[in-house]
Amino acid sequence: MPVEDSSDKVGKYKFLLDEARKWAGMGIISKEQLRKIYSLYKSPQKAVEAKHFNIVSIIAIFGSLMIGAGIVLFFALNWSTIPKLVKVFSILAALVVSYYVGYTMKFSKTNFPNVGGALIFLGAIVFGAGIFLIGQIFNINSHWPNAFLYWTLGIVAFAYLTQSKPIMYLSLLTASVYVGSETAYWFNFLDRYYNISYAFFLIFLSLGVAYYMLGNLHEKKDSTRMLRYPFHLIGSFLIMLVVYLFSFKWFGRIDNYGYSTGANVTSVLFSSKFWIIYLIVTLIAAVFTFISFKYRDTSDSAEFHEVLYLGLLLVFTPLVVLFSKINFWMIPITFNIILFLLIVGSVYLGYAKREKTLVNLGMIAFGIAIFSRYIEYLWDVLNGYLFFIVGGVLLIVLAIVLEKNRRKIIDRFTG
Amino acid sequence: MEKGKLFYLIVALQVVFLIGMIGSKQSTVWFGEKVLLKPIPYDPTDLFRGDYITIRYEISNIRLDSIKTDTADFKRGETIFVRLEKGKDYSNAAEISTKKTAEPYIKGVVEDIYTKNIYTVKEANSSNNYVYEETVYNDFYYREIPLKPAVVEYSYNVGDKVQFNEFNNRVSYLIKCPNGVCPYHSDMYTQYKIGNVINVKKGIKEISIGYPIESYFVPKNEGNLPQFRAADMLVEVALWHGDAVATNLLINGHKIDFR
Repeated sequence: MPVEDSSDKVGKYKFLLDEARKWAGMGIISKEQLRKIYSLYKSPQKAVEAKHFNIVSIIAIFGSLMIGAGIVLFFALNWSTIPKLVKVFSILAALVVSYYVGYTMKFSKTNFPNVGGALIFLGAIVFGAGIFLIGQIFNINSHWPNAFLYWTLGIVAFAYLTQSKPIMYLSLLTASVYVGSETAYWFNFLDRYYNISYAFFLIFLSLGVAYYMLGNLHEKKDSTRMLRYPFHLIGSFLIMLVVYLFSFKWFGRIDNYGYSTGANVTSVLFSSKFWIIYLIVTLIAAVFTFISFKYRDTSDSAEFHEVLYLGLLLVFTPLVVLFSKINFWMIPITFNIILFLLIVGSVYLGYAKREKTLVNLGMIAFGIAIFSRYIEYLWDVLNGYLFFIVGGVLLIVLAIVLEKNRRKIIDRFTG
Repeated sequence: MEKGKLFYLIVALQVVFLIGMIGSKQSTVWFGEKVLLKPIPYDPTDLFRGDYITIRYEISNIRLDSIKTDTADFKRGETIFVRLEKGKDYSNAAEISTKKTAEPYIKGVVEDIYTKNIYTVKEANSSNNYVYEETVYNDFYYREIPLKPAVVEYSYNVGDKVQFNEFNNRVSYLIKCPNGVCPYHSDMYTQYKIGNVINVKKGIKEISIGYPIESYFVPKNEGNLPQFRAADMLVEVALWHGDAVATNLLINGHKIDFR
């Protein structure tokens, strides 16, 4: 039974207050009624605190980063003169002290919860730094991608225990670096030269889908609902990034040695341990997609489409890449269509779920995509100065159109 | 479990993990057998990335014609075990196996597989012999069709007159002297020697192996000292069940102390 402290009280009603805000946005209750509900569950002081919540949190995080940077610099400048035992002791001390003070401030005494959270985050960073520093002190040269795996495993529990979004973002980042570095490590041992770009990014597409579906699963439980944002954001970013990269025509080109890079993917996929990594990540993504589909809210058609289409993307993308041997234009054409669909989907989903992040992501992605196609196809066509003038005009028009529509969409669901 | 207890349990696990990292390496140093390995001649200015020196050893590149192996077919990325034997001043590779061998052995990863032609060159008017290794790059790198055994061409025949320069008894550059006329003249920068090819061995396989003892931490700016260019450097390595830790650098038998 979790110990109830004062911070839990705010947590208990936070869901209610979030929902009330949504009701006001949907017009179910009026703004006046919303204000009355707020005053019932939040003291004016807490209301003020809530307003400044993000600012204090951000300042505290920067403060911890500065302290961390300062400590690292001190050690870096004097490293050679410090005995090994002292170095190890300092790392362990920094780790334990950050965690202890952070926990005390956030959960035991709850006097400075935001600072406490930032200190716990600092501890999570120190753990990772500790792995690398100890590796350096003792000349540990073992398989280096594992450092990121251990870092992730060491801190992910804290993200759930302390409901910390920054630590969850850090965990997802270190997990992604682990997958990327493990893949890169095995690429060194391919027994022939390949253009590895497709194969490498296919893994990140699967990883993005896995994260996104995990985010959906986090949404189902009260205790994990708040942590869905890092999964959704990083997941959708990875998916968009891969599709965006594949939308460039040079990704489909015939390489210097007369073989389309799609043909290379088949060989890469099956000739090294790379395919094990790809299979594992894709299977994990497929399992999460399936579970997400099974436990979806059947009254919510948005969720149905979201899970179905991302699941299809997971399967469809490698097939398109593999069959691009037929004609290399298959890739840029298909992925530009998919990118467009993803952008529309992101905006639609953001609107349906009242998630501003998805709407913004969609709009930004649209702007970047249009401008990228402009550069890609018109660079050779237009003369130097004309290219820049037309490009500049295009950007301004894009910015105006996007901002107007973005505001219109967001206003419609926040009232 | 109460949140506080769980929190501090995870902290404790993190601390134990970090200490365990140290323990796993220190146990090799404490319980392992110490051997000396010879680094191969290198250009010190290329070594330094930050505070690390990169060391390649004589056992990093091993010719498969001169050593006992349990297979002729090594694959890139494969883990192998190299059994060591004590020589006069340092240890040499005695056997390469895909399975664990008798101690002392060191675990490594196959990085590359080359095919080489080995030429022995006798210097004119001298009894000195030098070895020239010519790597035949298989051009399978650039094709997608299944690898066919490379046709091994060789450039020099027994009896050819050649001009060359050498470093540490290995030929670094070799060229034929057509019709007995050698193209280069020695100057103050480069000394050329002239000789004849007396032996040719073609199609010798050599594997390049990566070991976990290839980078050694050296305090900033101390890696470029003259002692690192000496040919008499040896590396002391602790070996325990295949795990290896570089423990000391020795110059002329003396351990280098960086503080």
